[in-house]
Order: sequence, then C-alpha cells, then structure tokens
Amino acid sequence: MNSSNRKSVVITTTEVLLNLLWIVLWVILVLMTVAFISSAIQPERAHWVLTFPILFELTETGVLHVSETMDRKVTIRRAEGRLRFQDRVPFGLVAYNYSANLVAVLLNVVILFMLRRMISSLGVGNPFIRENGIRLRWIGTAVIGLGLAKAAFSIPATLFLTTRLDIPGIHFKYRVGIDGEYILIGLLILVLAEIFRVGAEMREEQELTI
Amino acid sequence: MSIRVNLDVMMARRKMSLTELAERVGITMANLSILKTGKARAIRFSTLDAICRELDCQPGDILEFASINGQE
Repeated sequence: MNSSNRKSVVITTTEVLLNLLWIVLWVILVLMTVAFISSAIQPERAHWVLTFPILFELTETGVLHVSETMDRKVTIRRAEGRLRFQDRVPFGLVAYNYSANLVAVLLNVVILFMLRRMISSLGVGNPFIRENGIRLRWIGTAVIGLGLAKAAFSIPATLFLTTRLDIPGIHFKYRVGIDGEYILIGLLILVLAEIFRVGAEMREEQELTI
Repeated sequence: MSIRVNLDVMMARRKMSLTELAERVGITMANLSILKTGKARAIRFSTLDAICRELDCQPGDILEFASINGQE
C-alpha cells in the first residue's frame, strides 16, 4: 500500500510539472507568434533582441596553474562570441529565427503531448499498452527531429553571418555539424519504443491465452 | 483466424451453464467468455484438458478449422 501511495505521488508530481510545462510552451508559442506578426506589420516598432553564436580566431597565450609546482603555457586559439544587433534586426533574420523557434517549439509540443498521454495511462494503472509504444516512437522521432532542425537552421545562419561579418582585426570562423547527442538519444528512445511495443504485444497475447 | 470455437454447442448438449463450467474448469467467467466468443489468441493444454474432461468430449468437438473461401 505504501509503495503504491508513493508511486501515485510521483505520478501526480510529474503530471503537475508536465501540465505546467505544457502551459508554458503554449504561452511561449503565442507570445512569439504575436511578436512576430506585430513586427511584420510594423517593422519600425519592433525591438527584437537576437543573439547568434559566432566563432572567431584568437591567439592569446598565458599560463595554466595546474598545481603549486606545475605551470603550463597555454594558448587560446578559438573563441565564441554572441552577435547582437545594435539597432533594428533585418526582418529576414527575424523571420528565419521565428521559423527555427517555431519548429523547435512544435516538436516540443509533440514530445510533451505524448508524455502527458503516457503519464495519464500510468495513472489509470495500465501503462503496458501498444499505444504507449507508438507514443514513445513519436517522442524519439521528435527528438531526432529537434537535432536535425537545429542543424538545418543553424548551419545556413552561421554561414550567412560569418561570411558577411566585418569587424577589423577579427578573423571569423565557422563550424558546421549536427548535434550528435539529439540523434543518439532519439535513437535510444526509438529502440526503447520498439521494445515497449513488442512487450505490449506479448502481454496482450498472454492475456488472451486462456 | 480460421479456428472456430464451438464451446457453446457442446455446453448446450451437456446442458451446462457458463458459470458452472467456469467453476468446474477453474477459470474465471470472463476468460471462459473470451474463449467462447472466439476472442482468445491461444488456449493452454491444461485448460483444454479440463474443458474436455468436464464436458466429456474431444478437442475436435469444441475446436474446428473453418476453411476460407471454400478452400480446404
């Protein structure tokens, strides 16, 4: 009895947190859409603060104090700065940034929606159902989608900005690549989803064996 | 699946109710009902054994292979 009580507390807490996140996500979605539309209608009134990560070359040398008796000479060769517009951000960049965020938020909506459905099936006491396997599959796909979308939006933006930046004395660099962590975690969830689906099918089979 | 369960026919012949058979076989009414309506995926030999014993019949009396599209 005690353990089931504790379990229900865990479920309730998670449910409350997920519901809060759900609301926050929709508020973010509405706010950014309203801000975007208003900046599209009245560009001169819009005040967007956009920062973009920018890599540049640097050759600063110094000393690293490893311990009291050991010092090592080191060089910093590359640094990351944040590009920020001092006056109005070009509308094209605003639109680009909005679309990137929209895709990310929508993928998060998918993940949260599925998580909420899963936790509610857990609350009912019947989590080992085929639907939850399918929901997990959606979550895994959305996580991989997040990684791909991040790369798909950040690579062109970085290339565009670094090739057009002109600040005397600084040599800009760019690095392109896909965030492997998203893909790896997404694949992990997909494998778990498949295991879950097969498990649910086995349970169904077992239950219908008289 | 083309395996048909004719449990109701045999139960009618033996004049045995669902409740009574469930009790004698030692499975729940719900499970016996799943079996009777043909929703079951599989049947344990132990269950088949008990049903045949209680209804005094052969497995072939309650299970039948129904051919599809007239093909044997």
